[in-house]
Amino acid sequence: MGLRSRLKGKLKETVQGVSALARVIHDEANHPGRPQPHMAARNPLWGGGDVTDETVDGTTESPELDVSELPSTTESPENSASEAEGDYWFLHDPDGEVDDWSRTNPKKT
Amino acid sequence: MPKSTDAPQDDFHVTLMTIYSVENAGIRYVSAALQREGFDTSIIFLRDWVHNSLTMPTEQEIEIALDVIAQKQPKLIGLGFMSSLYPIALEVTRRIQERFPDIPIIWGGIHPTSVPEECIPDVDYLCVGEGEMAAVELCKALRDGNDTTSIPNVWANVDGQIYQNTPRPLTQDLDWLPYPDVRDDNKFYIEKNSFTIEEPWKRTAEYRIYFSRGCPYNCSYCYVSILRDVYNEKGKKFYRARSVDHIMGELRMAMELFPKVARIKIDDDTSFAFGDAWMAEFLERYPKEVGIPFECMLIPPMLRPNMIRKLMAAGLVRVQTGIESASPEESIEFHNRSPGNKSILNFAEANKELGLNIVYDVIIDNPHATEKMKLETAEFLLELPTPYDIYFYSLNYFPGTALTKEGLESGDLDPNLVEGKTTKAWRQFRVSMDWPRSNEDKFYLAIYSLASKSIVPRPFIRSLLDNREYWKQNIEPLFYLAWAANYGKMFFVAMRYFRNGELTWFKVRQYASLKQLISQ
Repeated sequence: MGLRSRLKGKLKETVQGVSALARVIHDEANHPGRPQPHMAARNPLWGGGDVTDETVDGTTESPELDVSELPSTTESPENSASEAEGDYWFLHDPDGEVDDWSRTNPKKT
Repeated sequence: MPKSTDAPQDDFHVTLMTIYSVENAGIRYVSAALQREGFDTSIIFLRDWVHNSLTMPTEQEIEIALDVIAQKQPKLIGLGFMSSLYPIALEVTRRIQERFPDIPIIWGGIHPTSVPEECIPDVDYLCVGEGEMAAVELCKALRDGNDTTSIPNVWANVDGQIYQNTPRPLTQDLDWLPYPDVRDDNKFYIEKNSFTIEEPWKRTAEYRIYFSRGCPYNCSYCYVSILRDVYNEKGKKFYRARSVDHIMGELRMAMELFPKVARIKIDDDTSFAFGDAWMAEFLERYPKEVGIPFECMLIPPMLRPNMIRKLMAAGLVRVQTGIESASPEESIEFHNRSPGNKSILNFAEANKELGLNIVYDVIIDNPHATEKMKLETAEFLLELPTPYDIYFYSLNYFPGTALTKEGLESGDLDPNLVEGKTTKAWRQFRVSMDWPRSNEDKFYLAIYSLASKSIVPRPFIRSLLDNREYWKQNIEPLFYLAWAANYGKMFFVAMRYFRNGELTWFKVRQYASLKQLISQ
């Protein structure tokens, strides 16, 4: 009896898994491209999916951040510029390998 | 409407909420900025956006959110949302106002920033633009009983009077920003008529981070064109980068607090558009201090084999880049974007040796695209070596973008087709085959989809293109062929993942169950 019910349980689990996989593949086939990143991150057919597994139910314990580790600057930030450089490396093209993206508003120029 | 408070208040708690946006970084930045100033905060995540099946949250889910608010007794409630979610945000806001008529509500995010005039009658305050400093200043004013009607970035609706305040200068030094608030104990994740107290971001193996804010470019369909209008500043940088040191600090925090993180997703609109010294420091420090795979978006002229090699050596495993349209005319005239075909083709050739996973963005459903434009995109996709993935985007008109404004001004665009008034993105944020389209659009979607698959011979696809007039009139067989190719691809992907252990029955059942519940 024990062996029979174990086999039955295993079979039921497999059928449920195959049925779930068929549903997921059916849904994916209706979408011709890769999911957007936030969707791909949850989708097991695109390398995503929750990191929980059968042995972990719900939340996991994780260390909390010590507030002292947070950046502590509270002074007004407007005048302490750390700006992205305007002389972009990808606009230099001595070998003519790439497209010219020096125009930021190509329609207007 | 309420409600500038009359007297100073102790224990000032702020509850922030976002809908269908578990990955919302902005709300976590605002929360962290408030905490740094001594305010207590909590964040409610009302459902996760996993599929194109967005529906109104259930009555029970809204009640849970209201119960969290009742328990926290905040002095201010903030709701951040995207334009497509406006109808849901409005309903949730009304429910909050009914139950908590004395708690002021502020909306933030891209929708209130895009159309503040339309939003301000519905709430007490709006945050227009970047929110960290605005939120801190508003909370201080409410806590101290000071005037709340003249805070930069904050529109106020107090005692029936509307106050429209101009934005403060953009935060130029991004190192001033705190790291996002990713604590577990102040997060309430509501899904499936239930809730958990956890940071839902930690459920995935991916940590998402911004290295910069803004973008050097002005693509007409993008939210960046909205922000450029809001921040029409002379002499200030719109595109700003964090220092490598600041970024490494956040990533070290992520590695400590997200024990199962396996990859980093750099979410900048344009990653790595920084100077040589910045790049050199990043390439040296990332592998040593973080050392897990990362992916990012690069604009086409950045796809230089030499730079890609260095980034791959540092951990780059996937890159996303925008074709959008391979028609130079459509790129320039409709998307206000330089064509990138030459860069992409050069890179694709080099990538035969590099082997980097590459994903191309393609925009479909542009009602103004001519057949010539669609044909140019099809031919370009057929030139690219397979295999590759495509992110298809169905063109949505988001309020406030340059594309939408031009369409409305010229009369070409029906105002009811703008997101917020329509909800197309609820069903087509990720393009689906079954969305109603013209035969011509179905034909090109099928061709684009087939072109990316190495199992479909290119000469066959070219013969379909040569006989396009026939196939457009007889679209069904071709369309079902593309569908079948998708089935085939996903089946083989599933088998491969099973074989190498990345896919388990548990994961499949868990995801299928989530999808079923969200679709209800």
